[in-house]
Amino acid sequence: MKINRWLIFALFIAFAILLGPFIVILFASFEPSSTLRFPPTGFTLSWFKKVISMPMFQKSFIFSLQLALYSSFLALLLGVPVAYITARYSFRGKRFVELVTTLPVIIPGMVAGLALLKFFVLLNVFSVKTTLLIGHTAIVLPYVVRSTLASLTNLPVSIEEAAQSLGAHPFKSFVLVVLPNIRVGIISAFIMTFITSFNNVPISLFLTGPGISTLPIVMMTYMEYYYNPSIAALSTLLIGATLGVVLLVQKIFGISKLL
Amino acid sequence: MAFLEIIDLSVAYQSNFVVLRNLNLSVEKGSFLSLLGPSGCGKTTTLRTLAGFLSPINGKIIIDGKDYTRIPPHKRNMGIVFQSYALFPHLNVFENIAFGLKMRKINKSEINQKVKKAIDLVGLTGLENRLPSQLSGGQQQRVGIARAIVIEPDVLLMDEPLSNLDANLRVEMRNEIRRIQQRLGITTIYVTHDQSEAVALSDQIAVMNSGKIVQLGSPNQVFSNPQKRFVANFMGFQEIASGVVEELQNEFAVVRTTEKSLRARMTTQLNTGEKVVLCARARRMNIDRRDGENKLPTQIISKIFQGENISLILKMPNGNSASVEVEPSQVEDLSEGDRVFVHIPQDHLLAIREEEE
Amino acid sequence: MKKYLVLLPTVLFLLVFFLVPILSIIVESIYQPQKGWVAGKYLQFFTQRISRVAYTRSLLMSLLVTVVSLAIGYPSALAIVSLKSDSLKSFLMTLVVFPLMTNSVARTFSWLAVLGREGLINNLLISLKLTDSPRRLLYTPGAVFFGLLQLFLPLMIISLVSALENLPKEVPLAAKSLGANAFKLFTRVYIPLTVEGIVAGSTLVFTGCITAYVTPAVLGGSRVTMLSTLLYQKTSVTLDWGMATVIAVVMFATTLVVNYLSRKISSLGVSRQ
Repeated sequence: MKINRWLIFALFIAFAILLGPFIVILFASFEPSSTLRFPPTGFTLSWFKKVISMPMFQKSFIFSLQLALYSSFLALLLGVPVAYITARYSFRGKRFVELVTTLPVIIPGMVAGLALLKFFVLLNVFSVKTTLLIGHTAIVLPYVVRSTLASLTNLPVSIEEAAQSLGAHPFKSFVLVVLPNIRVGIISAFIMTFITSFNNVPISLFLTGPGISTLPIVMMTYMEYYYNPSIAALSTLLIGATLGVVLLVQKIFGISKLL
Repeated sequence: MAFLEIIDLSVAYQSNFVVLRNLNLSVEKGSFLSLLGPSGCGKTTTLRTLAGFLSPINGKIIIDGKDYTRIPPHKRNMGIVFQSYALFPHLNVFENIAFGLKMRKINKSEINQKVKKAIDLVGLTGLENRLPSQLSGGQQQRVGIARAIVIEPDVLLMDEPLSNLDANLRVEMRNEIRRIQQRLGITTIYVTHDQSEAVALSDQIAVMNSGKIVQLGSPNQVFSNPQKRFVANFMGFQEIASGVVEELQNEFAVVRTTEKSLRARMTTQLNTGEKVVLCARARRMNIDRRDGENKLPTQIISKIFQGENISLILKMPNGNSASVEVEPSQVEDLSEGDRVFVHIPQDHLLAIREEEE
Repeated sequence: MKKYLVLLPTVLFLLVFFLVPILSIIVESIYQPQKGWVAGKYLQFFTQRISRVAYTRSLLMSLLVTVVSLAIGYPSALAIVSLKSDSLKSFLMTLVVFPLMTNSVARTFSWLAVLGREGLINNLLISLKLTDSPRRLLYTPGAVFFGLLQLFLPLMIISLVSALENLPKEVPLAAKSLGANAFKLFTRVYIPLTVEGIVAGSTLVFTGCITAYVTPAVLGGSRVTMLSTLLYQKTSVTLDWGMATVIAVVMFATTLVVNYLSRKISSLGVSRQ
């Protein structure tokens, strides 16, 4: 029993470090004065109102949403077929395909961001927007492949054979039989890729242009100049939204789907 | 030409590992053929090649005069019943069965009518809206059968459809399958490793080993008159002695063993001087206290009570052990270690060419 | 054969749009068509004080965070795994995953309210009369350390929980029945059987720390320059693209070496069992 108490103590420390700051920032965002302070000296919602109405945050928020949406869709489009082929067939070069699709996990984001900036933007090959889309799609692709692969290995091949023997063209059997049965894997992959892209800093950091910047980068820039609770309010909103999504996923699919 | 013809079919995995070698088989329309053999004998490979999931390195598959060898699975009109049922988990019973009809773009009312008939035939009325996960194993396999037959396939392929069911249900489903097949008259290829299933269901049995058909015949021929040593062993015969053919007397051969000469029935024509093994079933041998015609001296190694019967494990003169099943009353006074004689009636002792192994 | 064509867009996409740019900057940092082989920037990196300090600091910080997250993460993972209620377990794992999913800027900013001049810690110290005036807690290695610990502790816990859940339930019982005390149970049974999880978690944490940008940028600033913040400085402030590339290559190489070493250690641990 002595052991148990120590384990619980460690768990308490862990959660204090993991979640403590979130509670602190929640209260700090109600601070009426324009300093970041805990405990707050009063209660106001004005920082929330302010941050929601600021065009720079509105614009970058919309841009980040779009970028996350497009790159997640593109990653699904590129990743699901690869996961399917590598799960179902063995062929020469399979190892190579597997390696290539895990590259974005191996390569540090900042290295990729710098490379994309130098190779595409500075050489005027692509616009900043296109390069951002490329970079974000690449870094979220491995999640799609991994999550889809996991769902596919649990799906017996025989049901595809059954569909084909009943007259379904292989593509039709994929759409009618495979897709509906791996939808949980695909949806959780989409949630994961969306969050990853939305939150990304290392790649987006290098890929900014006039009027083009993702929300996290705009937040970082703003923080360099202003030290008031508006970012605290924005952070609280983002943290709250994330908590909502994570709890929802846990309730619907189980949290293991996101790992 | 028969309805289904397999001609010189060879199949290999990864171009060098050959699993089927020049297989030839013909099946009449409406008949039920079992491919029987141990795992790895090529029976499932044959079935999968018929279905179009594997492409042969050479040979042909002809159905009703049409060459199907290079036709993809979805363009062959074959119903397949899988060992694992392979039902679509996201579709209910009705939708599972209707799948093949929908692929054929049949109109809705006809689909409804055909699916309903199939559901009645397999005895699943009332379960139309259940998902596969809400059904028992037996019910799932009924859906699998209904789904395969509703498309009115040219050939019905069944891949060990009963091996995931428990023993009682297996016998019940076996009778169901035979009833449905005879009612519809569908040409059926049935893969199994269970000889009792094959014997109960089939018009013809093809016993397979190492990618070849070893013997093809009616259940009775295969069960009672195995022509090859492998078939005899697989159908439950025991090798009790080996020897050389001394003399031929009509359908019987006199075989000289190390101990003495025995009279045994031939299932293929043998010649004098040929090496043979002598095979018999446990239930067809008797225990005797005295020596005589077609008797061999043995020693009882163990005596196992099995309820209706007693099984004696005997040490044969050639060193092998063999089991004999007799009624308890016959061997009340015998115990382990006793020396007795085993009598094999000449009709039940088979002389089979030694070859292979 | 036709089906393999669907692989082509994805493979080409990653090769052309991702791998080629990265390879090109790596090649460019050691070989340039006009000048031939160039090693000057690498020499500069390892001789200049600022880059050497940043690199050493990054390495030491990563090591420290890895060790501490292991020290806190292991007992926490044990506690989670030993819970009887599955729903409570799942809820706690959700709370562990939650910070991982949170926007890193928002998460890091939270520490400003903890460590700032009028933050939680300083107000606590003042009210306890432990100090008269607020201490500078931000822009110190300590601030970066706590930020990184929060960031990467979840990865450690997740790795360890999955390693511990793969342990057969009978193992600790069998060890106990053979008379192992708690300490021996831990060092002789748990640790050897979860080596792979420990190594996997440590690798994730270490490489994560080496490459993390937001935490050192926000909590360390220019006072606590680390490899990642130095890299960004070179591209945005001094516009020294050559040095930026060299730093990126060093960062990448470091993660590769760490991954390679951890695989070695992991396979050593497995072969010993």
